[in-house]
Amino acid sequence: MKISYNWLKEFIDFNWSVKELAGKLTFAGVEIEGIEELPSGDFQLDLEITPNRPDCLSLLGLAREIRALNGGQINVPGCQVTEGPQDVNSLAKIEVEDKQGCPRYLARVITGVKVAESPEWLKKKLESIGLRPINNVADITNLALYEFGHPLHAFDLDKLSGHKIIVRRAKAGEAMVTLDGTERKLTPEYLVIADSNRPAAIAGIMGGLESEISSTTKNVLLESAYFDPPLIRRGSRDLGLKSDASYRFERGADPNILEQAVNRAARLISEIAGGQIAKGIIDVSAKKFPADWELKLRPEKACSLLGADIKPEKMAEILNALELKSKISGNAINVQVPSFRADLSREADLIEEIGRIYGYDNLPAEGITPWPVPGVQRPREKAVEKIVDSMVFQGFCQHYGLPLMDPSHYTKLGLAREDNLVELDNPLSSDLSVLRPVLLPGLLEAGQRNLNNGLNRVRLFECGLVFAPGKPAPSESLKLGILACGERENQSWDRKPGIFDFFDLKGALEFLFESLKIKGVCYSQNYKNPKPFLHPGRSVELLLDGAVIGWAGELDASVLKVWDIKEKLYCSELELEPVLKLMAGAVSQFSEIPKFPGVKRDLAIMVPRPVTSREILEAVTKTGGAILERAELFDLYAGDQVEKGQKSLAFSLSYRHPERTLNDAEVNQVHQEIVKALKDKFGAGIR
Amino acid sequence: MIDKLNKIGEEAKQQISECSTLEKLEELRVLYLGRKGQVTELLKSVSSVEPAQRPAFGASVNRLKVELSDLLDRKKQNLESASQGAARQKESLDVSLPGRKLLPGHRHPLHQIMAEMTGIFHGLGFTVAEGPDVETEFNNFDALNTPPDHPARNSQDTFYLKQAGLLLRTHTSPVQIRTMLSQKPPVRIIAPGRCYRRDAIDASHMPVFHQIEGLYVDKQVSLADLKATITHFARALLGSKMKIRFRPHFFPFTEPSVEYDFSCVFCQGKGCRVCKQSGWLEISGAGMVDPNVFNNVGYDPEIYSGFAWGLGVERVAMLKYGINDIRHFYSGDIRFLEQF
Repeated sequence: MKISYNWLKEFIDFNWSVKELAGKLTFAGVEIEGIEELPSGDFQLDLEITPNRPDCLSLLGLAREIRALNGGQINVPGCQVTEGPQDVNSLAKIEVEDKQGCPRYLARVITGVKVAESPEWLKKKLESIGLRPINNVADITNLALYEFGHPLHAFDLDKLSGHKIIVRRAKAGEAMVTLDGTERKLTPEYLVIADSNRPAAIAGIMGGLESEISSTTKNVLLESAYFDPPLIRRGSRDLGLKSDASYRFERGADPNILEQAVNRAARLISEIAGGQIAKGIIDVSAKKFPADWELKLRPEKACSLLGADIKPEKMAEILNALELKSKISGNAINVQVPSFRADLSREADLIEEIGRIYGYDNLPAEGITPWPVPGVQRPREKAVEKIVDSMVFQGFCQHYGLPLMDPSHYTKLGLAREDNLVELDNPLSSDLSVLRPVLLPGLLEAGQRNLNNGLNRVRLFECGLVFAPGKPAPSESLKLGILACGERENQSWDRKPGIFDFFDLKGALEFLFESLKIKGVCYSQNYKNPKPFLHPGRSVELLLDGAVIGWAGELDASVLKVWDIKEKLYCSELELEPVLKLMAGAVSQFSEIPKFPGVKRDLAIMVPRPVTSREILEAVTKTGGAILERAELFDLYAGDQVEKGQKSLAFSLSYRHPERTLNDAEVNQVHQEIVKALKDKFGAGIR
Repeated sequence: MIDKLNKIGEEAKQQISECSTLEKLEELRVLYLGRKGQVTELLKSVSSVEPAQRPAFGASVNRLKVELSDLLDRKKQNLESASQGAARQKESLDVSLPGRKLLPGHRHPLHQIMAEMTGIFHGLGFTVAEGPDVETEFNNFDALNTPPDHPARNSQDTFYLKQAGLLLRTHTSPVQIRTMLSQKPPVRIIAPGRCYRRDAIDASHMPVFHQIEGLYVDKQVSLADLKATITHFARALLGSKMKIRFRPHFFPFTEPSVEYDFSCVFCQGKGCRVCKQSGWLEISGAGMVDPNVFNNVGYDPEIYSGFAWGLGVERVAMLKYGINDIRHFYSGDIRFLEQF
């Protein structure tokens, strides 16, 4: 809302500069968003009024705020009218069909007006708040609106068929042209002001072009009504039509200011546009709104909630200045709340009034009540932090992807779009219309972006939520997604970096699980859930305690083609919930540092190619028994130097006994047993 | 014999001083001090000296032996260090060449700042509470005193799921409701988390963003406590000179409600372009828990009071790190991520 500094001063005198005024009001809760100096030397202030304070949408309301902050006297504009002899009821009839939508409807009639341009002072006033003057009658209704905050509407009485007004819901199929020249199709959702034939205005939102005040208007019907706020809010939203009137009605106007407002406008019309005010007001009110209500305020409660020591006398003074009649009575203050403050219905509301006028700046800001229990990281947070640590340590950058996904990304991975997507009812756009079931598409997009930016090394991970349909609500679980491609390590002037491949990915995962102290993760090529987007020979499924927890591998060339990526990409996605469960509360346990020396032996064997290194290592470990501390593959060869169909593997075996030094004989014995076992099991030859 | 001794001594000293290689020096040691060396031989020939002069002669020979031994050692040290110097010279590097570095990974700036904020609140006794991204209308709105016809609830602003009654939470405040429904007061929690609003993407809006919500409920909790908590937080996060201020505001779930500002981190409150010369930066909203919210979760507002605040994580991260476009956070652009 825009107001004028000088006009406001007519309502209450104060000696603040415009800047001071803006500061004072802002810190009392009436925010001044902007100040503009006008050519006249006046200032236009742009106010942002919170939706709970429709009473501040007028100069009178703002004057009350200023009085509470600064004292002074409010000059209420004159509302006394001089009526003519003609009975208003003989000139117009009002009927209210929808009594809930329109609990009060008042009308006055002014006959014999002369519609013309407004006088200079009136035009200036409207221009000072950014309104365009139209004609004297319309301008007066606007003036009264800004003075008292109550929207009025002036109809050309002679354009209302039957000189009659019916407040009713629109009928299906009805339409009308509003003042802005737009044709509006109406439905029973809308409340209209109709004459005996058709709608003449959309109640509380905008008048109709047809019954508009024009230069030929002689007789004016002035409407001053109270409409149901939610009804106006819905209507304004559905029509996409906001007006000064709808802005106030939807926030809740004062139902008891109707007479004052209509009298003010009628008086000004007869003064400025001539004409005679008919005798009486037509008042069709289905409901009587109380003029005020009583609330009890305990000063002690106010002090405790605000954390400040404010005297009851001061509280009563603040409330009285806000026109909330207050009287101290024993340990309480009795407060009469007038109907223009519908936002005040509880003690807490009054405490806010005291707080904001007393000034939040005056509250102490030091010292926090100590808490008996320290705030701590919970096991789950700690575990997630360890996972992030491990990935960052390994050179991966953490990505935050959007949980909103393009469903076509699902098909772009070669996955059939099943019913397993959680869909939004009102997405912003089709590319953000489902909740992601996987992290991969987001990582792929990010990877693609980085490659397009010319980076030759991409390492990304995301610890993020994925969603699956469920009842009563979709399930949400945490996943880890990894994407890598390009150079393996840093380039330097004497070394060529290697290129990231499957075993780098596997190594990253092995490192991750080692750093999380999780044992028994199995990398299997016997897929339980094959993934169409992975190279079948260069990917694995990860199992933990026999359950699939994810996958890892090289993206299949067909997918890379769809995504238009030239580089080989390595990706993995893991369910973190089972991992976090295992990690929860786990603490590293010390094991004794070996006191006795170990013995190292190498073992080089030839086996048929299909034998996997894991099979061999398992056999070695099993046969080696308790004294085989560790067995590691350190060389693999399958080139021309070995027989076709064979490969050569070399292992380094470490033997150690925890309680004594091993002698050669016992090491030799175990070593020979291992050799024999490998020969029996795989036909391995020793090299 | 004494003459012979003196002569050997002179010659030996001369030769040692002129010697230039370690091999030569070793030969000299053998020549003079070896088992059959000249000095050793002198000692053996002591019997040919007159008995009365023997002790004096023996002492002289020993003195010479010690003297030569010292000379040889010193010379050896000199020769050794000279040869090492030459070798080192050959091994020397162009140390101005760049070093080989590891390539570290980087924590996302939002992750970092949330961890920092969480740490500050841990110190005040707040513990993290969580809730799902998909919320019920009840937890996100009704229980927070936001009636069905409230503008925030319309489908222009809030993402709804096809599944009835569910939405993507528009703030972290539903975690307050979940926490209070599941535990009795007192409560001191923070809830960092993702939120969703139906905002089109631009430099200052994303449909997805993060908030940290705080809630403290006990007997006698006051608005002054809220002010102290936010002041402490601002100073811990952005420096001990930070100031905060409250402006009255309106939220359905708090009464009184305020918006709080931080003194401008760029100009220390003097006024600059970023703070539009005001010296202050708008941060977020806060207030005392509305009695209706307490009633909705079964807390007695006559016994308990509490404060709650929200905070936009992206906004604070942008201020702290000087980031000018919110879209960077979600781009996955490594050139952005590696700056933090």
